[in-house]
Amino acid sequence: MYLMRQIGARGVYGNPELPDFMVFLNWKELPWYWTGFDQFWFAALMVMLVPGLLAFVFGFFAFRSRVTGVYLSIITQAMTYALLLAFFRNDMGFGGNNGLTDFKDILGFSIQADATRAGLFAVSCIALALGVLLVGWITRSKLGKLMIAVRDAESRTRFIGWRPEYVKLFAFTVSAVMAGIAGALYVPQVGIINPGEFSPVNSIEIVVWAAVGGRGTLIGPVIGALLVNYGKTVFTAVAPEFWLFLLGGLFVFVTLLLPRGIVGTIDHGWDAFRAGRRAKEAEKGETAGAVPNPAE
Amino acid sequence: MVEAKVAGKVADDVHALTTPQGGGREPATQPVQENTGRAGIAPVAAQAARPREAVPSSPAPVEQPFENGHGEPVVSPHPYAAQMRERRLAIEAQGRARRDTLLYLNGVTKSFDGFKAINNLSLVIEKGEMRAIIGPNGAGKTTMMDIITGKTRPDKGEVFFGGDVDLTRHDEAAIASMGIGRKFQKPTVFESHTVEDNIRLSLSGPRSVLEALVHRKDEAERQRIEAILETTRLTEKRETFAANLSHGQKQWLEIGMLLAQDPELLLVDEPVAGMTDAETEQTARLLRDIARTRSVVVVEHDMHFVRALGVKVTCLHEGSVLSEGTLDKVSADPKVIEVYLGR
Repeated sequence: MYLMRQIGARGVYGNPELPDFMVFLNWKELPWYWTGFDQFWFAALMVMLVPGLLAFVFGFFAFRSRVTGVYLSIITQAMTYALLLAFFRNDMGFGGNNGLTDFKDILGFSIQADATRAGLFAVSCIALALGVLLVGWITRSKLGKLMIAVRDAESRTRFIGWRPEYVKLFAFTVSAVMAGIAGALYVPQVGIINPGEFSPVNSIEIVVWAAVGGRGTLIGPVIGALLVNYGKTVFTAVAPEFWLFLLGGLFVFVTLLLPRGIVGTIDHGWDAFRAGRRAKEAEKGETAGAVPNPAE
Repeated sequence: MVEAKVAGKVADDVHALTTPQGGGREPATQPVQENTGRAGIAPVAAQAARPREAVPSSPAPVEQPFENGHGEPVVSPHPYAAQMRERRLAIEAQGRARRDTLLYLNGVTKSFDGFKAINNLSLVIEKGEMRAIIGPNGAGKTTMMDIITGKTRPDKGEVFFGGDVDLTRHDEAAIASMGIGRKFQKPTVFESHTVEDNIRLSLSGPRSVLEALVHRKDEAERQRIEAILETTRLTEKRETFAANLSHGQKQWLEIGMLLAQDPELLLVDEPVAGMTDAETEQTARLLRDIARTRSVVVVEHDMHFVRALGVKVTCLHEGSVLSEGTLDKVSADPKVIEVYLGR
């Protein structure tokens, strides 16, 4: 929204106040929810606040009623689908099915310029690193241990006195804030944002990234995301007719042969290798002790 | 002399109110009672004693508030005030009965789809007591524990903890924080964590998510964990993942987690299921040790274990208490024999 307001008078209709699609819809003034978005700091704040608040309220009610597992996935998907349908409507004020596009500049820098793109890429990398550090800190703390406990035996944590719903709410809200920041970095680099991004397919894709990379590991989902999206780029270039089959083939391969994901298999493989080495040495020690070789 | 008699009568009535057995006192046993202001107290006090008597046995004859036992009108407080006082004394008397107890169940009933799992169950556990609860399968032992710990809400009846806290109004986490710890039938520990982490998560302390985020390990915590590891003989196993423990060790770990919560009342559901004889003996010793400073309720099938504990036994059957007393008394009770062995 900030980017839309930055277009200013350079839009197709030349209206300094209203974005093009509003002029097209014959709206006379900016709706109330667009106010303030010409300030960068406000937009940056809202990027974190709005998804966080939505996740907090939704999660509060969902977790308090002890919805778990598949049912939770279903109602989150239902919510995003409802938002998809809502945002597709032209009267919502977010560009309808065309979305928001035709951005000109960000913080004064032209969006098309190479320097800006490089800068945005660098910021994305830094944000990723910070995200990994944050999640690492959380998982290593007592709260991280508590989260694993809630995952394994939720009723047991309840009977110890913890409230699993607050633990889940925390994870849900932090994830939402991180997703909000990711989205904000995604849009200027891609140049358009469309309500089609709300679709459930995107959620499934994210799960696939985590599965390919390794569930339960810190770096796994990062590697999975990079690999799958790189695969998309390569496959569409190499085999534009059936790239989707190749991508599907990748998923099947990973699921069958690397059920722990890439990073998970490496971790497990390394541990198993070390345990095997230790076992072999122990065996050698045993046999040597039992039957002392007179030649030695 | 009459005043002394009247005073004695009042003292007797007050005594009737405070003893758990509602003494069946006749309202007027004195031969002569003068018409004094103080005599007005006696009939009212006698009336106040009636609600206690009415609970187990038939109600005593109703007496008008403005007559004493001999039909002579007395100057008494306004009947409405007398009524209120009577009601207040009755409530206080009931409260007094349960105030000193730790766990007070009265008339608890719970049905699941028409099947009465708990049927008018009344049970009292005193502070510092260890009780063994036995009963055939389906007697409602686990449902009773569910109700006490807040997992299920009873259809009818009162459940009070420490005399004043109504357990039916709170959920599991709140009740656990109040000081009731529960060990499940199937040892439920955190398999992905080490023994030490299992105990660390159970340590009594703030239960806030944000506190857990910034929590730092300190010396006091380490010592507490050491103490518990020693009590449950798991010191060498502190770095093992709970999934790799033997069945008996998992049971002990769970008891250790229970101890870490520092509860006032421990509810232990079949602690020796699947244990060897030696382990059973050790568990009995451990629980007797714990019972020195806390109250414990043990649900068990194993009679050897119950005998080794040597405590008062309550036998449940079809959702209500069948028999209560020492193990010898209960096992000699013909009702219990019929239920366990059939006729």
